[in-house]
Amino acid sequence: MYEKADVWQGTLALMVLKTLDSLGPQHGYGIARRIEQTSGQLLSLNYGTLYPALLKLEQEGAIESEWGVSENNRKAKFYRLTRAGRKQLAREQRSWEQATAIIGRFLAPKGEAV
Amino acid sequence: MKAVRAFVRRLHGLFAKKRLEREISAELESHLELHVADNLDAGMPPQEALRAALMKLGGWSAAKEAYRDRSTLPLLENVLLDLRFAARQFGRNPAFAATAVIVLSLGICAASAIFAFVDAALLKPMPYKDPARLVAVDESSAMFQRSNLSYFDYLDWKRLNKAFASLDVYTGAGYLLKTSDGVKPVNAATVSADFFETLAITPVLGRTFQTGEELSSASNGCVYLRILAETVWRETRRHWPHSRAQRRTVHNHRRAACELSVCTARQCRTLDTSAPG
Repeated sequence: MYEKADVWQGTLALMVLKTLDSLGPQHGYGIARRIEQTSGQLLSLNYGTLYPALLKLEQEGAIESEWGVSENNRKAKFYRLTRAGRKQLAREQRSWEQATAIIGRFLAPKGEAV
Repeated sequence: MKAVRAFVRRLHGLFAKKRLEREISAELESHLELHVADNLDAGMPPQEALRAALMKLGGWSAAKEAYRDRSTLPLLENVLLDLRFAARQFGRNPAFAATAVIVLSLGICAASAIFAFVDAALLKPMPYKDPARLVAVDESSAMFQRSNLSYFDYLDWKRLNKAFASLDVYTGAGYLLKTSDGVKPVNAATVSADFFETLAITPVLGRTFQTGEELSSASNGCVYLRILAETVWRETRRHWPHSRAQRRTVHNHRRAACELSVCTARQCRTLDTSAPG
């Protein structure tokens, strides 16, 4: 079976951006749960590392934050994508797809034309 | 660009410590609350719920520290802390602090001055072609290691010279120069004809002396053969045409040829300040 893998630093930013793109504005806890869920529980995310990553994205201008109220009436800080964040997401998505396509050709089973 | 923006934000974070501390605490607390609520909904007992939430966070202090480190510049912060500590220590021992500062500044100033002098005098090469091949030749006597040389002895040396590619002589002189601000003294040197060729200096304007010129000029009654440093030329160029005309009208029975040649200021400055042979 698959092992639960540790999350890479750079890809965490991409996952956060994609999550915010899909879910809309969300608080840190919600983002973390959603990432774990999307990965099919294959990723073990240390929630403590999420907040510095969120802060980094905010400092770079990809996301912005404001305090709001969650579904169960608790105060929480909500994050949402900015225009720059959307562009960054599209860019990184493209480069990831390219990278996986290239590697996929190398790892293609024998007998297939390369 | 993103990195610059992030850096500026973090720099800003250095000065908003209290506010940041409050925000970090508030956000992590709200995170825990949400997580604990979920755990309780999932049926965990309260103690277990809190423990699980903390563990998943990676520890309260670790999480807070990681968050805090990202919001400021930890390196700079440490430097500032060290500086404050140092200032406090100095405050406690003003005598020691004053002594240390004085000694350090004396040492630094002395070292800089010595280096500047050595750099200018020894390390920077002279602006002549092949300075390693330039030598100073002196007469020596019982009283003086480097004593003055008579012009006629020089002429004999030059005639008998087999050791040097060229042999020229110079001595110091001084003139009063008429400038727009009045008259000022300038350093000068009196040199033999091939002097500039020996040093391989070519003038910016005009030409250098030619061999035998000093003899022919004396017979023509001309005494003014000069090569000016560029700075001097710039200061006095207004006067030259004027004085040339003046000389022509006043001493019209002598041809006063005022040859004007200019060499670069740095080369001539080195010339002027060197000790006469």
